[in-house]
Amino acid sequence: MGRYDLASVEPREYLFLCIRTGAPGDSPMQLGPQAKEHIRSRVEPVLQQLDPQLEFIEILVDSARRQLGFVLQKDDRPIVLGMDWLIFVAITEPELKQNLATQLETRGLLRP
Amino acid sequence: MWRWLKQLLIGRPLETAVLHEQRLSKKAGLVVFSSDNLSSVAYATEEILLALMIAGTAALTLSLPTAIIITVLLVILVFSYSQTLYAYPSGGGAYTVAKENLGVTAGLVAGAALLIDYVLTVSVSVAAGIAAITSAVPALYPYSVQLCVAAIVFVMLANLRGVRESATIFAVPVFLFIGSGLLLVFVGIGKSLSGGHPEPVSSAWTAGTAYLIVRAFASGCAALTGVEAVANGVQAFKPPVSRNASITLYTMAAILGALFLGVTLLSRWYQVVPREGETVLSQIARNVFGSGFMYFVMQIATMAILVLAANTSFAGFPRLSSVLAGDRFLPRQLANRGDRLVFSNGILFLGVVASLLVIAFQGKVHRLIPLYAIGVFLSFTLSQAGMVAHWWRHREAGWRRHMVLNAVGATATSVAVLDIAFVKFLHGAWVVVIAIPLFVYAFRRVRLHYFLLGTQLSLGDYEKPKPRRNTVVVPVADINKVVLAAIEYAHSISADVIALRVNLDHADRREFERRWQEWAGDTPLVVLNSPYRSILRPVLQFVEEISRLRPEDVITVVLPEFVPARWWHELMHNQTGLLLRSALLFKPRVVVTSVRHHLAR
Repeated sequence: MGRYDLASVEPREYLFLCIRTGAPGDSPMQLGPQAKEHIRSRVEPVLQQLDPQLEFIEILVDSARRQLGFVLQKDDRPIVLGMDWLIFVAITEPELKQNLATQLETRGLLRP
Repeated sequence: MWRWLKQLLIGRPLETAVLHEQRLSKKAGLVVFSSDNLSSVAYATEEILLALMIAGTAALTLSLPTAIIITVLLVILVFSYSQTLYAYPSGGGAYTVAKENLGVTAGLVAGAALLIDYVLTVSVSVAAGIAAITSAVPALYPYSVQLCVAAIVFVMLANLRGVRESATIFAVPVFLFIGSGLLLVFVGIGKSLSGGHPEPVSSAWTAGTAYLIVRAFASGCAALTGVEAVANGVQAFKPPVSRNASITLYTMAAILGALFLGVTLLSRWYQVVPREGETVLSQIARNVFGSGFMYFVMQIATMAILVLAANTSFAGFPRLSSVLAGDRFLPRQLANRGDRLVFSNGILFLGVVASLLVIAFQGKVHRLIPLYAIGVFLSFTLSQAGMVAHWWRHREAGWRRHMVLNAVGATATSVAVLDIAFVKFLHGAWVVVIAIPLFVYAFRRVRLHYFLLGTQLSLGDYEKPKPRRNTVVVPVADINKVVLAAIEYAHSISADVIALRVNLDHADRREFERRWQEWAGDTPLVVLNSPYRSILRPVLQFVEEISRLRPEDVITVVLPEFVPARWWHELMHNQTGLLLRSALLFKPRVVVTSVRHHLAR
């Protein structure tokens, strides 16, 4: 951790670094507030474009820190969309939108 | 409390080692297996007379020839079944004999017919017995259904205590009926021979005579129901089982034949005619004994034997269902022996179904009587036909003689089954004709289920277990000792733990998150909103979503629960844990476990 000055890096780089090392105060399954905020700020606008009724609830990460889970809610129905963390960091906004849209379509929550 | 009540009602548990001690002597076997058969004396003659009445009272003279034909059939049946007892000492019920010699479907048809017969026997006989009691004491009439259910429960409990105990409990009424019935016949015949009865009216034989006898025969065959009970329950006898069962069968048939022929003869000699309000047997008893003490003894014994006819079914049904369950045509619980070494589940099932039938028909189950005989005679026919095939295949010493005897039995009973089906079809026999194929279909479905279960659990295509990850979801309602104990447990079995709270009524989410951070900050918390105040639905859907997110993982739901110090404290708490556990039961890859905190007071 000590080798990186996390405060000075770009959000995407920050997240990339968090994959391996975690941010200060992270437990294996918990993301720090900054990482959560970076992810949320990327995902929430995309979801709003796809369906304004989707409410962003929480971000999960597995103990191996490979997979992200976006917990959403539409009306009273919870939805958890998943994505490999590395892919999340690497893909562009249109690709992210396409990925999330496909997952919502498979649940019948979004018309193709 | 429950154990004490159970021991009081059905007695202390018996060791498996004393199973052989539960076997029946010939006398006890007669009590257990004859009550159904002998109880038909109470109504078989009346059924014949009612069938003949359509041609006027003169036709009633045909009752005696009809009774003689039925008695001849009884003799054929008994000789045939006696052979079955020796050929199948391990249990020669119609199901086993038909299955082994005619194929599985024939066996299942026989099994279905017998199971239906056993249930109907309990309902009809108990209702008939209670009807006799309410006739004598009309004040009890409004409570007929309750009395029927109470009688079924009584016989059921006696049987749950063990087959020997039921024989001891019911010996007095059975022998009282046999004694008073034989006394009625002997005294009645004696009085008649000494000229104390009017001459019966004779009738000329006409073209319709044959039809009348066919009709009366179909009705009177009810007298033979229960003959198969000994063969079905041969394993209940002490060794040598075949000999003891055979002697019991002959004794039962001799008593039945004497009583049935005697009562039918007396009905003619005393010119008794079926009438509303008094049974034929009661009229004969009144003629023979007057209205004194012996008349009442006869009536009480008749009521008792009618109720106790159910006892034979309680001996037969559980045994047959255990054999079917052993072959996986019925749920395997029916093959388990209970505390008292009887097939308790079969006894309970029979008691419940028969009670429901009585309740559904409000105790007026006489309409079910036509359903009886067809099923029984179908099983007779299949059993005897199976024995013919048995002798033909095995060709043991004297096989020709045995085969001829069983062939005569099969032919006679098949004629009877066709006759009953023809005469009684519109009176309700059609129900059995529909019910038997449905039962056979159900048996096959049960068997298919067990087969598929076996293939799915088989190790044939099993690969060595791969290491699996476990994602744990802990539903939390609050932050307290129980919840934190559940979180601690969850972390002990997995590194992936998610706490899930369902936020009802827009409760303060931030306050909860702040407290969560304080007490269990290492565990991610998901707070879902529930605008419709449901807890179950969001939790179930969230578990489904996590299961979809991590398709390779086992999903464990850890339920924090507390156990109140007093049972009645449970009434003061909602049973969300119980509901969740039930709802998650059918979700694949989901394990549900509870972390319980036992309250001290």
